[in-house]
Amino acid sequence: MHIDARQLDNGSLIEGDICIVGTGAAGISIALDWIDSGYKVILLEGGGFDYDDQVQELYNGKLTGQPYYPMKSSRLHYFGGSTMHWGGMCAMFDELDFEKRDWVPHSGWPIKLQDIAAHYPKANDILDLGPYEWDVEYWTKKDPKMIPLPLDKNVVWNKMWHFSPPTRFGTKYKDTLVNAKNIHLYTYANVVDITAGENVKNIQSVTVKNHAGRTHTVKAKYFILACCSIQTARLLMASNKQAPAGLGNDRDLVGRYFMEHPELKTGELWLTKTDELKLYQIEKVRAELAFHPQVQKEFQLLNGTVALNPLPLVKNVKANVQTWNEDDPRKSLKKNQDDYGTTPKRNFFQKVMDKISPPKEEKSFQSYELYTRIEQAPNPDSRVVLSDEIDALGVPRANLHWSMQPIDKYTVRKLNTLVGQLVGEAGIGRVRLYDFLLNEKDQSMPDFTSGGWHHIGTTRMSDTPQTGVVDKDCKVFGLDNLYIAGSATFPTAGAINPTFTVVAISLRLSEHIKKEKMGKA
Amino acid sequence: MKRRTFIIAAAATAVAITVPAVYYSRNHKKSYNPLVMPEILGQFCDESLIRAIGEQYAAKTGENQADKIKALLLQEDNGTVVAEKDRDAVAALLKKKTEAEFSARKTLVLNGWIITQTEARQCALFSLTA
Repeated sequence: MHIDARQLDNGSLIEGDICIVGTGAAGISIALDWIDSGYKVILLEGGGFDYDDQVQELYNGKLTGQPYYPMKSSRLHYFGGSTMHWGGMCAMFDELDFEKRDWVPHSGWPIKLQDIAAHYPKANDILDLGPYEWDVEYWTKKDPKMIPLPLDKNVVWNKMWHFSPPTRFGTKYKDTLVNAKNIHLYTYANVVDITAGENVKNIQSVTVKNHAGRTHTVKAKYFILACCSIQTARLLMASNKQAPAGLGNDRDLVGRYFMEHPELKTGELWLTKTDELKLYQIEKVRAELAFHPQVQKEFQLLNGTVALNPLPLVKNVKANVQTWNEDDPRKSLKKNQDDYGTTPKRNFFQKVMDKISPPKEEKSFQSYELYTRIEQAPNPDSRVVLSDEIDALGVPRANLHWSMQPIDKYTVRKLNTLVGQLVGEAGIGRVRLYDFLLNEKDQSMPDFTSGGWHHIGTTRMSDTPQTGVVDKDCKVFGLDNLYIAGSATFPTAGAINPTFTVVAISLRLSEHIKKEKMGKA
Repeated sequence: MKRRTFIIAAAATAVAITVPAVYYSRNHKKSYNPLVMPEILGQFCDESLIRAIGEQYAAKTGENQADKIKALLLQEDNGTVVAEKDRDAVAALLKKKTEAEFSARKTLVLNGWIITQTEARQCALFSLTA
């Protein structure tokens, strides 16, 4: 059922078994998993069912460090969250992403890929990703024109991506959740504070507010914060009436290790013969060049992939960080509609894909742009902090300092150099690197480095509270009934977009609470 | 930009980008001298780019004497020297050297291009003699 929290009597008490804060990919995936469970689920959304600028404004904050998208517009604050503007690109994490790597400080998860692998198929369904087939061999057999480049297989492999339609959670799952008897969806219920019990060992309640001046209390046995990396860190740090540095933040780790996927144009592949490189183009699936674990180890690299986009089509496309720069996401959308055309019912991200997908009449090209995406190395100085400024509901705003390290730039340069060497070895062409990669002494990332709108880290998972905020089950250390869902818990970012893994790891968390805490199979 | 306009613009860009390659492939047969023109790189770079790459290599390595560069290019690993006049043999030798250097990951980045030392020397020779 759905309740508008603005319509409740002020000071209402809302009670349930599970309280989920946030209705993005993580929150909705968990809520769906609890339908007909016999438990009362309180699902809290700060906004309504549509964009509301007053609510969106609550996300505003200041940026420092590497240029980034405006705080206000880099996440959407209404039912469905940022799935309401995501691009739909999905891929799986690699086994190496979970390993402790000597050459990547702060790397290593307390879980392995196989711990979440069982949840990928269900995530695949939730995200409408089509056949659960992630090996290039399946796709080359299905379409013989999808031919891998003849590059040294000991160095690179073809990592498959699937494209969600993209699934808009707020559209697709609204009726299902609203009609579910045990799911109580409250809109305009912004969580502004968390109250712990005596000795700060568990959570008793959260306080919700809205612009209508209503304040309510929500009590539950278990609380799950699923409001994305920046807002989750903000909420924990701002809940400081019982813990000076905020809840779960005894060791000053909350907000730190904010990571993105730096992505940028890095060079050009020139082929001796024109080729459509169909395997690498955006259709239902695509491949990107990925690098084997032993290669990453040998050269002390982060994980990363290189995409191949037809150069004539993308040469003049500006970096996302240069075009998606309005505080109001609607203005950025409008601006990009001007750039990308005004095809009805196609959002910005779809239009980007339209643009980098070859038009039907011209598919074969001699030149391709190398577009590189890497995991950002975990960096404690890349962080979310509380501002002195408070928002309209009285909560300190979040400021973001996005900061890179020399290994990030080194990895981008080395991956592209390897591609150039392999292309030369194969005798199929040559690679030209872009100017910003030529000076090996320059360890900085250029200002046109974009992120993928992926907010990762800030409440990282670890074996111990000395090095992390949540344990392997996503429970906040020291608090018995507070969990965090989504990419905020990722200790490292992986090379690929996080949504698929966000859903999978959220389903794992959901299963954990069901089995371990509620005693349900 | 509307999609149709965009496609036209993209096509125009494609023509502009592929001109050097077309230029070289057309002139390839008549006057192609493998010693001063890397076979594959020459498909993508015009004369001024080849010259710039060659000059960068010479400045970086100090290899700036045409005779010495020519001798290095024409010599096989076992010391055998290929006759300069035998262009097919020269082309085959330089191709073999280039492939071996790529396989050994012995590459340079000059003017952004990832090329082998042999290709760089060809460019340098071009810049010194053509």
